[in-house]
Amino acid sequence: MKRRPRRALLALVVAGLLTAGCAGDGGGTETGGAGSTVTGIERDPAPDVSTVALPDAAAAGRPFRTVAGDGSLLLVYFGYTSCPDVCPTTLTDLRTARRRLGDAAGRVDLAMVTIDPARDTGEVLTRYVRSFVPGAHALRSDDPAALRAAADAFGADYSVSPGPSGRPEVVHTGNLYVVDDTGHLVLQWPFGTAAGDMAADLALLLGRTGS
Amino acid sequence: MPATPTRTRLAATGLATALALALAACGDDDADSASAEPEEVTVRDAWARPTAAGQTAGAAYMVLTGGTEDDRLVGAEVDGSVARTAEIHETMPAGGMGGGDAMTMREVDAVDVPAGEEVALEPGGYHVMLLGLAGPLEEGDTVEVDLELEHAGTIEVTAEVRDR
Repeated sequence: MKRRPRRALLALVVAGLLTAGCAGDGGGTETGGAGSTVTGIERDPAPDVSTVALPDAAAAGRPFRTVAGDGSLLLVYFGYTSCPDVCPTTLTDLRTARRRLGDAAGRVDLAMVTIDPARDTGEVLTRYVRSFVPGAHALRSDDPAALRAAADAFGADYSVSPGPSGRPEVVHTGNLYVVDDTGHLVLQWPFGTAAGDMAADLALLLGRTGS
Repeated sequence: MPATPTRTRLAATGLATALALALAACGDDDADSASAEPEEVTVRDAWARPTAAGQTAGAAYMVLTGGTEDDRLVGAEVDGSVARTAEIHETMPAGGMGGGDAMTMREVDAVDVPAGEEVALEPGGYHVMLLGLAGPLEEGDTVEVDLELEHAGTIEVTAEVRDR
């Protein structure tokens, strides 16, 4: 049951990289800014995602803007609940990282955007995301254009297509994104970032944000 | 119960190995034939992540160590009380670039388990995907998974449910 390489998606990713490369000098640098010791990837310039708004199924479908509360950080993840490996790995590591922050964990919020709204009901998504972070936001839209626009703003990619076995075949960016209280995407962690590194980065960013 | 070439319990494997070694030390005739038996694939550190509320698919991870001969992991089975079905899957970069940004998952026909080598089923790589979980996997539970090896036959594995 070998499958062909996903050339279309590859092209998309390449296009995304090229675009990112043109977005500004040093765009997408991994070395970080002056005096930075974060292990995540700092986005420079940090994309403004404050205009992204999706219905929050955990709040009766009211629009939720991807901006952190004052002095807080908002983590944004594009995933789906029937994801067996990548999503629970990252979200469990995030839960562990938050626990290590102690009281400061209250300043680290989470919004999960489902890329699979056909299978993820609002209720399922809400219970799922809140089992990792209490009070987390469950962003779900039935409007494919709105979902795509939100993902584009973060530089995330996804696709859900019928697989050969009849089950949907899902592709999605494995990054966990960190947004500050001005609505700027300041940092992203690739899949596999250790919980300890997440915790250290969060502590550093919370220090910058001011307590 | 389908007929399988061998049905090895992990604990039993350890015991048998210890016994074989003990016998070999005695220089018993039987020991010669026992030590001539090819070693089979062994499995250790099997675990499955606790599921979140609403999660319908899970994953089990473990480390396989090849035996005397090359073998291949060709499938997995679980009881219906655990999940509807189990498959061997691999998480991989969708485009093979961009630092693993976009990821996808595919079912694999087989995972090579070369003689004497360790092969890890771990987050972000190979895993036993549990489809259609019958119920939540909770910390402290165990999940029985039967691994199907091309040569070694069925290996029963007990996976602990824990966070990594």
